Amino acid sequence: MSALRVLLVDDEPSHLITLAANLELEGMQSFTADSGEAALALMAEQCFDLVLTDVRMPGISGVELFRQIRQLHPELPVVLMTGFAVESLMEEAMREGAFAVLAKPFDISRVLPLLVQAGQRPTTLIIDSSQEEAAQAAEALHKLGIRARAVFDEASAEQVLRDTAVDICVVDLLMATGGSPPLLDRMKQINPQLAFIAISGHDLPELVRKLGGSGALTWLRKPITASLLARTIAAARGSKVARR
Amino acid sequence: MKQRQVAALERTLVAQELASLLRHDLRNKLGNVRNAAYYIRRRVEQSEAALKDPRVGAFFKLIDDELGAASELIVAGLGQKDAASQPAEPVPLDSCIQDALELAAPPAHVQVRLDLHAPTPHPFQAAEVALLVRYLIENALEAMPASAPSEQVLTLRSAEDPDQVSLTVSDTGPGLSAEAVKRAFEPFFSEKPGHSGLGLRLARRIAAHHGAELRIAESAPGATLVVTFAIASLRSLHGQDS
Repeated sequence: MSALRVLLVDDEPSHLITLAANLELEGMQSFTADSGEAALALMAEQCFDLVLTDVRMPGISGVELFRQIRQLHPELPVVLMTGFAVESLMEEAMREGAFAVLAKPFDISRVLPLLVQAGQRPTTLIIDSSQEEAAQAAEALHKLGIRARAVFDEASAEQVLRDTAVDICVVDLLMATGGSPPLLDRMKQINPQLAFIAISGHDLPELVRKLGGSGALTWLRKPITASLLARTIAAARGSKVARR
Repeated sequence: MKQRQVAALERTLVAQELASLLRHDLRNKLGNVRNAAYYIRRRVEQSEAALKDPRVGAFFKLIDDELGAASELIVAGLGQKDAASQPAEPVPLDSCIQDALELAAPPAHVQVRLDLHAPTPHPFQAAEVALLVRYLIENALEAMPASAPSEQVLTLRSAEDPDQVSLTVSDTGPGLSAEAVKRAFEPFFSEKPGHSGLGLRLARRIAAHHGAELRIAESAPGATLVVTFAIASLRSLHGQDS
């Protein structure tokens, strides 16, 4: 496998060069741009597997850069970093399909695995016995540049987990808790790093509490829009870094 | 008396704003040093020096731990409460606007139009809101210098309904450029020479303290800023429990 080509965008030179050095140590090939405009110019000449950009910069912001990249390369993963607490812009970017948002400063040793993962464009697996709903959700995520795959039964879910790089699993809550051992536990056995987003049509606090103790899990209630799902996926990815 | 209270409040706010910017920059710099140390540590951990002398590894760990701890200390400071909070006494938004006008003292070449319809008292931090409105007025006045050829008008409009109270401040200046709209709330951003670029940022800080929203409205010609207070937030933030 050839080295991941990562484009780093930040107006702060010290951050840019220390980040680039650490990425190279990890076997990635890093390229740097000190503004969104410079990044777009580089992207017109060459291809990248991943873009990591600061948000606040003179000229176009990282969020605007992300939007322009979405137009040019709908599937290219973009990770945003910001030193300012929750901003509505970040919220919008996550809803529009940004891979993850990182709070600066971050612990580089935690961020490196996330970047490696992002560069490989992991799949979000959607499991729902309603074929129509699952397929629609996957299609909607695709439109936001998020790689997704829909399956409708347990056997295919386990199969995909074995064959594909999946990092997030969106699963109907009843299906997740069904079976013996429950599907959720079986999936975790196949991939312990998996983060789960459980979806249900009703308030099922009992079930959620039962699941709550067993690792990364977010719970969403139907109906769910594509942008809410995209936001939840980005947040789940980012939270792997946030915990210290 | 009111004037002195507002001046003291303003000093506190400016100090808080500067401190928070400083903290932000400091944390980023510590982060860069940590990243650099992390790289060097990984580069040398198999070297002869590191293998022979355990202090090399121990000191890299010390650097990382100490920088991490320093960064945490800076964050701990962020949790401090905004502005010196005093119990809010119920006052109408309109009287805060009147106070602010007095403080801002619009020059003679600017005509002031008042259209005030928010007479109901709510639990505002009166001095803070007066300061917020003063910043909005000053922002408008700065867009209307005496040298401008046409008539200059500052319009203040307030309104209330059972859920919210709002104030709209408009000027007849050149309006805001797209860049200015985007960056209006950034610290030290100003398109006007000789201005600190902190006014709108402080105004937004006060608005946030009241759970209120401050935004730039579409308008032409001139610029319009709108601040909207939700009455439920005012009660929960500053209202007395009864």
